[in-house]
Amino acid sequence: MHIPDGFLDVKTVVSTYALSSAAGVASLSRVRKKLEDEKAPLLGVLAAFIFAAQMVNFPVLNGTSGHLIGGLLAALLVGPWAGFFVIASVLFVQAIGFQDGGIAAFGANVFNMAVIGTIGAYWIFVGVKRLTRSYWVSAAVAAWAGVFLASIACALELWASGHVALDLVLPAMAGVHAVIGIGEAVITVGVVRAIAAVRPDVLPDFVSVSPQEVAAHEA
Amino acid sequence: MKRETRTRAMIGFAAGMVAIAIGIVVFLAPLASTWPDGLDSTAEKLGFAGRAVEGIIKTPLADYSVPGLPAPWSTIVAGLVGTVLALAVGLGLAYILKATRKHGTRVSR
Repeated sequence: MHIPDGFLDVKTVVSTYALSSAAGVASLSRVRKKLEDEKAPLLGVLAAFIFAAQMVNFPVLNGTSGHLIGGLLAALLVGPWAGFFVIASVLFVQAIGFQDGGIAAFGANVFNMAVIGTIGAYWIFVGVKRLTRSYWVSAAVAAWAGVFLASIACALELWASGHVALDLVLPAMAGVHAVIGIGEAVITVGVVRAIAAVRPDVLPDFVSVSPQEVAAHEA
Repeated sequence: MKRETRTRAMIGFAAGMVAIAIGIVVFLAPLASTWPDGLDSTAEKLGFAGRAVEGIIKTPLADYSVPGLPAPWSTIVAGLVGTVLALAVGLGLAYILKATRKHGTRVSR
């Protein structure tokens, strides 16, 4: 759902840039405090992986395709705040290098996919995990919800820009992305399951090792 | 695990993920559906697709293709360039985040 230039009016461009910048500043201080040194290179690695995965459009309903966003995937590996920077990096390369997503619309695309689709999806993951106690159910639900809610944000931005009626664009965007979100859930769970099988140690919410065990291991 | 072991293990994981990313670009990206995505098809259906302004910044790799190269190489080369660029931007950001950390702060498990 990369918005091209021309779809958004000036007030929507300015306000989404402001929201995304605020999220960037908030993420920056949290990443500085929380990102483990060993995990820092994963920002680049995940950006590369998600860029590649986003190229693979899969067909959904009636002549429409969708592709992974990867927001929850990134957040499950490096946390929501570093995940914000992973998805923002991917969107930056796509906008600057490939004309996929506009330059003026960059703020909106970051807001939809890196804020809602990543930080928001991770919060949903945490909430659902508290309720269901299942890592995989929570991951699937949150991956789907991240895409679905991002598409609603996108629809609201298009409507706010005054080019399309809300009662048309909201059901159209939410409807098709409710289906694309299933793809997001399947790919996210598939990739994280594969990682959990070979390297569970890189998934912080998957293995919860007690501090005593870590101390015993390091001794 | 000791710090050195953890660092080495993380580098192994990183190398594996990059290798898989390259595999995705080479083997899967050329097979991607060419149908419009959810937003584009909505824009076409609701009649505002024509508002799109292409190329405020002109780039040679627009639409994930290299002018003059035949399919599938066009997609593969564009995809590999993008994958390397994304890796570089992410690593650059990670470096800046670490470099601008308060003096002496080391974050570890």
